[in-house]
Amino acid sequence: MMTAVTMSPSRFAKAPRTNLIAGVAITSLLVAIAVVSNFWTPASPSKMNILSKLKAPLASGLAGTDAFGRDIFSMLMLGASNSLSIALTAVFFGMVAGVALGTIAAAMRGLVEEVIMRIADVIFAFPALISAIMVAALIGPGRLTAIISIALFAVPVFVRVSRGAALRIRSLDYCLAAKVSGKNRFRITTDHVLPNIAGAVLVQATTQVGLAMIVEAGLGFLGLSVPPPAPSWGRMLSEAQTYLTQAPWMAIAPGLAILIAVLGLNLLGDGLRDLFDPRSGSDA
Amino acid sequence: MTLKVDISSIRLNAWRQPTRTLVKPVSFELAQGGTLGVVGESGSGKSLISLAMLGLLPSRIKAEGRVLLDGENLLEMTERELQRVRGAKIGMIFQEPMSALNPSMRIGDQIIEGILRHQTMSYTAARERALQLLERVGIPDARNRLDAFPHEMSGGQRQRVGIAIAIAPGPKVLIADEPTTALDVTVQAEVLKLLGELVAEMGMSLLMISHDLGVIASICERCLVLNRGEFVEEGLTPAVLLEPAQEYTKRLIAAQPRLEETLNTPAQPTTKKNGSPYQALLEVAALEREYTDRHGRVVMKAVDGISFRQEAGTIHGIVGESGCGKSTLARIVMGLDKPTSGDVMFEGEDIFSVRPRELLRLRRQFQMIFQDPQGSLDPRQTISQIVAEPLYLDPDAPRGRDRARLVSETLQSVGLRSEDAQRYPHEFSGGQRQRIAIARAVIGRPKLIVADEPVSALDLSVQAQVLRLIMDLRDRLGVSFLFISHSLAVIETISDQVGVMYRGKFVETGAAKDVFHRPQHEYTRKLLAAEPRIDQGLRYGIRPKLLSA
Repeated sequence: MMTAVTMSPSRFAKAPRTNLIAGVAITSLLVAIAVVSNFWTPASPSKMNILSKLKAPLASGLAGTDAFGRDIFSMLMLGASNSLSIALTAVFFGMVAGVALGTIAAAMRGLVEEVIMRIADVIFAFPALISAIMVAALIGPGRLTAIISIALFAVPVFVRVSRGAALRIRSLDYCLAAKVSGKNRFRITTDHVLPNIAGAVLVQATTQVGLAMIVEAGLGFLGLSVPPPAPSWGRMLSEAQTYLTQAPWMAIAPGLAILIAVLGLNLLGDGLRDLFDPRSGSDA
Repeated sequence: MTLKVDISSIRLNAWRQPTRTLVKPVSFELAQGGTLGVVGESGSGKSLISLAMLGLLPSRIKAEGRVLLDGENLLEMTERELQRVRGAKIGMIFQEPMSALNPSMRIGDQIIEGILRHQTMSYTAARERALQLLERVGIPDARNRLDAFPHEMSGGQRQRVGIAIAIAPGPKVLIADEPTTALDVTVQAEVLKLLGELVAEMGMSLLMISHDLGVIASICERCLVLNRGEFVEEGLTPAVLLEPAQEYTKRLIAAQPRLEETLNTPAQPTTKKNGSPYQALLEVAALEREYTDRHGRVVMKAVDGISFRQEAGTIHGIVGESGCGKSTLARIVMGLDKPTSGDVMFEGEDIFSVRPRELLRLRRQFQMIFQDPQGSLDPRQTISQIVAEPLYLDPDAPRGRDRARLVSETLQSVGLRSEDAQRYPHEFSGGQRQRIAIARAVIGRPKLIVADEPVSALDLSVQAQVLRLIMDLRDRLGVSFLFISHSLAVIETISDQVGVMYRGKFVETGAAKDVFHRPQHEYTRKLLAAEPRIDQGLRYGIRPKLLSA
């Protein structure tokens, strides 16, 4: 008598990459909207029309109008562009600086590493908002202030991630083989460490862009990001406060936009991690 | 008690892939008090069978057939029923005692956990029982060690604790999956002795899984040979190992590094004596390496006064157990670590007193091969990039098309194909990866290659091929090897000269034949006696019984 037996409770078969697919879909939609908004929006996002102020969604435009009669959906579109461009630029510079410092720390060890890591700790202890207020005090609020403070906030994250990953790679025999072949610390970093930590760094960067968009919204809320009339998701939220009972869509629309954008980027980050890490998602 | 295993297949169902059969029909029986060895190389399915018997296969792998323990089919049991069998009726010992024990739980509690799970008794009684077990498995000062954590014990002691946990509920069958593979030979001998005693004392049956034919020969009455999931042969161990009927078993046995007759013909030293004073290729003199703590106190002497000289064109073997300092010695010879005192002379030049630029030039003359073929190749580089890496230092190295030709010639010389140059490391097996690492080591035509346990991670048959390749490279290219290994058999097979290392010192040096055939030092004799060999027959208190059906 032969019997087919499942030896342990059958769990899901290896899931197709749902995270990755959803993340790519949401994020590309976000990017597409941001790009299109620079050429076309349903209505001008800065044109006021007091006659049609505080119109509910679909009564005027897709997402209604605000207290000045501006089309909220158009503002959201251009806001996506502002938010995303600030987040991407800031994370890019934060990543370059952070990975450089992290890999240097891992390559040099000793005092250099100690100094880099302690400085990273200090920066890490400052919330992005505090550093934004300090930067704003120096150069005034605006796009540059937002980029600098968000980048500064991202640096220690990348320092830690890249140093940890680099140390692990450096302990492997192929780095020793490179050393035996006469390569110096710098060459080992460029030839062996960077290509092998790229995955981990990219995953972190994706999640970091999501975080950066939240911080950017916070800065916009306080009026420290792009100045009016350029639309910003954060400022839209802050303007909506006064009309919360009369026109809740003014708050709901940018809130949903932030939620969906960050969700998409986090899903993309998770999906990329599954893709790069061969250990997760397979047990054969 | 009887255990009848009749597995018709073990299959893997992967997402969107055709079902793969990992194990084809295999059946065997294990009588009360019997010992059976399951032998095979990696991928033979030997571990899958033991996991299937306990219902521990991963969710996508399914076993079909019957595993009858006293008439009950374990493969048809529910998870709840299996939990009553696991531990209580069938105990298991794992390969890696460090990861099999919970690092944050006291060892006493880990033993008690199993006792209380299967027997009703008070905690105090269970603790008393745990103490008896620890004493039985030979942990000294057991009463105090009951509250120790796994990291406070040595590898051998941890494996003894693993055994205590396995036998605590009094199982009738003990499955041991490579229980001594992670241990040194002398410790291995002690653990095997303990297993043998326990089997005799408790009347347990033992199912031993191992790649090491010597271990199987010393402790198993019967043995079963598997190859790529297929049953090859089964029978009384001496019959199978000494007069194998099947071709595969014969090949497996031939691949064993021999202790008795070595295949190696001693090399003729090629050191030239052209007028100049006689010079060895490598001369190590009074080398010491101390490790100190923060206050400058000497904590450990990893290398303690090592001296030897190696002639060009020879293989110098260094053998010793873990922690004897052989890897530290290798690192110092490579110039990767600095000695506390002593000299390393390479062709008469002291590598620690030359200027850094000179050291770079000298570096071109020596290369290294590592133990783990997984970690020694950069997964993001092509084979051609990996193999050509040592040419980086050489200003005269060929470039462009000439370099590509050199890479492909080198790949061919280690038994790979030139097309392999464009592929990535993950596309190769362990043995092939080690060949790639060897190609990288020889491409710059170094004079000395330091090989630190280069065959320890490989299967027997692959190991034999790699050893043959190393001897062949010595003869063809005149490369010298400083070959480090824990395996006496490997060292004897390959070395011209040997040094036996113990606690940072050489206890015995000389020509390989002399050292292994007429060992002078007691430690060498102890090592040789502990080495499991297939021609030795049953040891460790296992008495052959006639298998009654």
